[in-house]
Amino acid sequence: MKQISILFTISILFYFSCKPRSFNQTGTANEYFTIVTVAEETPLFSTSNIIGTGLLIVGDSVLLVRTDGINAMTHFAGWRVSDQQKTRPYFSIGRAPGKSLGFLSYGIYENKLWVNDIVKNRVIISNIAEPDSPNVEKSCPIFYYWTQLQNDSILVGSGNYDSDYKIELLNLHTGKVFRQMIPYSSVNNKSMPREKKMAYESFLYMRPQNDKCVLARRYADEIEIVDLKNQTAKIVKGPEGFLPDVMEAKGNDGKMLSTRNDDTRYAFVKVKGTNEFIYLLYSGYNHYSAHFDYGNSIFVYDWDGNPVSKLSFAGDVADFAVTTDNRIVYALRTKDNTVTKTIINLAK
Amino acid sequence: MNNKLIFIILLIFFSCRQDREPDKATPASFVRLPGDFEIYNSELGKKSFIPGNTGYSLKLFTTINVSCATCLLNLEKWKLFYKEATKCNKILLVPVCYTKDNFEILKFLFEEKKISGIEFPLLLDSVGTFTEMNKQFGGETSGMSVITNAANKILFSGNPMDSETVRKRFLEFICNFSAQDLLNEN
Repeated sequence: MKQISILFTISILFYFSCKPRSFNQTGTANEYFTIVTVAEETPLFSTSNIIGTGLLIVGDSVLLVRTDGINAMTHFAGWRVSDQQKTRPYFSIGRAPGKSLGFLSYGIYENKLWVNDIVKNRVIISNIAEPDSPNVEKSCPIFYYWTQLQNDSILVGSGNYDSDYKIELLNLHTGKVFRQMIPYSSVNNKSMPREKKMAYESFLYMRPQNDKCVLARRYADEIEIVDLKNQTAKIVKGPEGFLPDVMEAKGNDGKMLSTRNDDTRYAFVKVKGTNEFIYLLYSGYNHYSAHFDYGNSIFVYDWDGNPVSKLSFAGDVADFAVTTDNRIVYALRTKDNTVTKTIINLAK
Repeated sequence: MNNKLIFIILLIFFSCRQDREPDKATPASFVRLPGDFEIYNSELGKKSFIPGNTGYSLKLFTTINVSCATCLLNLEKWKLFYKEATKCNKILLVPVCYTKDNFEILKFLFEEKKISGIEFPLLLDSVGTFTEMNKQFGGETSGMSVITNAANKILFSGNPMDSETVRKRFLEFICNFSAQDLLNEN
């Protein structure tokens, strides 16, 4: 009997010492995500033959699906939330004025849809409420990995690796940078090499009230919340807390860059927000994964960096959108080309 | 016993099998041109290239993806290659371009002078007819390139943009190609 007890104790000890932990225990944020909600999705509408790559919500009433730009004539297709009927499409694909060729970042401000066309080097703005008004083009001569618009005049950019600052504000009328903030740390009194900056490449999202923005790292499991008024920043670790695993190489232009290696993992792949919360779609996948930029968990923080909640999906979603009252998350599922609805009720 | 025999045969088979070398002359075959395609280069004008009657004893055909600005960097690489090649021999470079955006990015970059100094015509293959008719290119994304004679007979093939060695061999072939070779080919 005594031997059986000892064996039992040893077995239990082995079990708990070897059991993989779902949460990192070294001070990462995951342990603070005590509220985990399993998303109870209901299908809202099918995008039918449109292959979606992104999702936006306008005024809580219209959902815009970014098309793949290959099998469509426009970059966006729209559906009304109320009756799930299609709206007019937005942004014809093309080189003519008002049309767009290709972009990384895009978004909504004051019910206007904008794209930062990296081929044309212009920001193009469409007034959704006025279908007859022509799209407006504004020069953006600097390449940023990701941008946001504060209004018609001010672009906030991150990912200009020739700059010593993580955040730059550019006047869209003059095409000039008028403010820089949050310097990359210097190494031996020298500017941080551009490949080191690139390792921390981030998506940028502007709080709707324009006082803060968040940088969500692509290859490091952390976010950085920037106070634009005080010009200060706070780094918050993500659910696992991993650092970039990338390698350095020389680009076609002769400049150094960081690029993915066999072990590179993606961290955050989409970021959205309301005035109350930051919502981050988390991948965690190796870059050789079939859908490395999809995720099945949305982590929610407040704008002070405090973890609020984790929303878990059954399977991967490509993108999502949140209503301004933090009550509904819409998710884009490319597996069956549908947009789903989940009640979350995170209202403060 | 039988299993051992099969194993030995397979072993010999796989140990002797050689991967196809990409940079050597292929068996005689021809590049076929589609009947209907657009020739584009706003700098040169359309009259610069008449398929089948070019007056060039050597031609180099390649396929280029022009669906994104980054992909178009390959055009810059070909521009440099063409400068080197034409220093030592008369050759016409014919990049066959494909995309699904109706060549909007390509035309925009030409119009905005962001692409310039391209001294060869571009063959715009809007529906992929060229690669369909020329299976030896291995599809649109292969990067395979071939050197032909005036009658489009393939003399040499490989991917010179992917390997410096293949690039050198392409240049050597072009530079060493003489009128006598031409007679022998014909």
